[in-house]
Amino acid sequence: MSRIRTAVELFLNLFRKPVTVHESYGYLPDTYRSLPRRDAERCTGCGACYERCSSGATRLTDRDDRRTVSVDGYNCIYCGRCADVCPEKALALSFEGMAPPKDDVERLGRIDLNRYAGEDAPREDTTLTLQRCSICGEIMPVTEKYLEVIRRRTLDNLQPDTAKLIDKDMEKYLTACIACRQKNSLIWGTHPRKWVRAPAEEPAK
Amino acid sequence: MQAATDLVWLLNPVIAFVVGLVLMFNLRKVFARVQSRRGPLLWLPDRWKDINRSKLLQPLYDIEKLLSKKTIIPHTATPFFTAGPIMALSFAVLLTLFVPVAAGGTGAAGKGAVDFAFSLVIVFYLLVGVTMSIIIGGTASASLFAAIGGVREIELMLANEIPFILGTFALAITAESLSVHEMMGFNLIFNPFAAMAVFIAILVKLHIKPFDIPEADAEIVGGLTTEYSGKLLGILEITKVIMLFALSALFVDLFLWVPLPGLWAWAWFLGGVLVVGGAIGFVNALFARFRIDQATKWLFRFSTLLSLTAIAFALIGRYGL
Amino acid sequence: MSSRIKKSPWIYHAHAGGCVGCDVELLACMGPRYDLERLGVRWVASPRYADILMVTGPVPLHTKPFLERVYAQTPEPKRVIAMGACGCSCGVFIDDENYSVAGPVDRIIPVDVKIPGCPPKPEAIIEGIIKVLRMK
Ligand code: SF4
Ligand code: SF4
Ligand code: SF4
Repeated sequence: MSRIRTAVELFLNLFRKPVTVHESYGYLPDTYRSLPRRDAERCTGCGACYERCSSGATRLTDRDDRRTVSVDGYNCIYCGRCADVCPEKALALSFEGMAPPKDDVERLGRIDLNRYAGEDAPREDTTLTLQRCSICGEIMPVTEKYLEVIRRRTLDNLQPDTAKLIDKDMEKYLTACIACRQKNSLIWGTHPRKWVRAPAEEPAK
Repeated sequence: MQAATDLVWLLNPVIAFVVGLVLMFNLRKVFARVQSRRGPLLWLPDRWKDINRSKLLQPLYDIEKLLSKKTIIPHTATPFFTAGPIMALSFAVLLTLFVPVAAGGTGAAGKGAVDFAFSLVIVFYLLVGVTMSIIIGGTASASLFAAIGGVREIELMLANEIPFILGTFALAITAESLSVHEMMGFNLIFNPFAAMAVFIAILVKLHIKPFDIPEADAEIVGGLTTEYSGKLLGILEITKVIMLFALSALFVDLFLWVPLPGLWAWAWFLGGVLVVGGAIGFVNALFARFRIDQATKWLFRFSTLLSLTAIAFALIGRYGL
Repeated sequence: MSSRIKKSPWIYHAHAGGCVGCDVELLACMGPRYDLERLGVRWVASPRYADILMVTGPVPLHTKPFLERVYAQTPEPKRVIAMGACGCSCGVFIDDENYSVAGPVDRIIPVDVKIPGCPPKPEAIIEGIIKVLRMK
């Protein structure tokens, strides 16, 4: 009996409206994910996204004193791990949190982000300057902007007195390359608590 | 003048091809619509206008493309590989000459086809001829898939010929003639069993869904036609189109025919062919594939029984109890 | 030549490694919602019938000869679409230490169009196919 009902149902399909979406585009949800876009203002070039990338799409390239953080559009699988891990919240997958597309043109634009049939893969590049060692002048594998952020964050978390106390030592430590740190016995604990107490008794050299 | 009109049946292959294209489109469209899809669009949206305006002639585009492509002939293939499709096409073209097309008029011209006292038998042989040529061509490619497909095709053919022949013979008993033209009529009412048996046999001959095991796409990659490409495949595709028309037309002639004059005959004929084509498409969408053992068993049991009933029905109708 | 392919593209789907995400997405393309048959596309079973090869996956070493053979079996004129992050650039299988991957598709056969995404959305696949149809 149920088979007959199915057959009738299928026959009636001939006179119903097909469920096919018009043209090629259906409704694109606002959580539709595409290539991560990097906010160049915010990105510090820390490389967390590079460490976490699932498919090796994010790459760090250091050339001379410039660091480029890039995403290869052909390689990215739109997983969003980089956006999760970015400390500066500089990354967002294209449509996350955006309003649904209003018109056809906007929809097309969105789909375009997911389709690069040409030869060149799209890239999301950000270039930043690398820090030079204040002692020997070597190029360090860290960007100026990142150090700036570390400095600001650390000092913001401290009492103004302590901050003033350690400011100079920290500056020295941060801007020295690893070799120079060892040579000059520059130490800087990584734990903030250790930080607060340590300098009063035994200021770092 | 008289001689010229007597030869209209020579146009049958052309009509078969043209109407066959429409039928093929109809088949795909019905198949799609039953699945709630759109199928090949009649009017493409503006954004796709540069690709094509309308897909109405989609089967023709397919054939045209195939004929323009390069043909690859496997090095294991024998000359029959090329001869097979050509033989199949010529059998199919010959077949159309024997299937009446809109036989509304009177005299030889009105029969719409060549007609002998035994033309039904010729139709049988030509139908088998088409299948056999494809089998010969396919197996000549020495492909294993083609071999499996060929075995299945023969099994199915053996199981299928009996109901088909018995079903049409039921009409022959009623009409007391083996001429297709004399058997024509609205026999769907007079002998529904024969109609069913012949319809199922047509499905098998066209490899429609429950019986498409000889060319099962997912398993034996097209069966007999696996190794064909380019122009040879195009010829096979033309054969398919013509066969679709010829068998639908045969069904209309034998079971749905109402003698009408002139243009009405054409309207009735084309309408009938479209309805039969649509029914074939619907069946295609409705069923899943039979395994080969299921298919032969089913044909041997159900279909043969049906055709035997049809014969009994015809005998009773003709000679009384 | 290409105008004929444009009107009746027959696509052969070559699965060359990869998870089956892309392949499922291809099925969705032929399904009711994104019905590709609107464009006259037909999914064919044998590369001999095909005009367009749709390759998914990163092409493992043991699949490489088969992919080459499938490409050779497709009669001219033909087009190749590399689909998915795998097809474009090996996607998640990109790894210098990966001993079993023969590289992305375009290292083995010439590729005309790439559709990135893992898996690409059906819209993206349709756009990619239309792009290959519009190619000269
Ligand atoms: S700030 Fe964010 S985007 Fe920039 S390198 Fe770090 S993790 Fe990547
Ligand atoms: S979305 Fe995933 S694959 Fe793409 S860059 Fe971010 S982490 Fe890498
Ligand atoms: S691109 Fe992603 S979904 Fe497609 S086969 Fe590769 S891993 Fe699977």
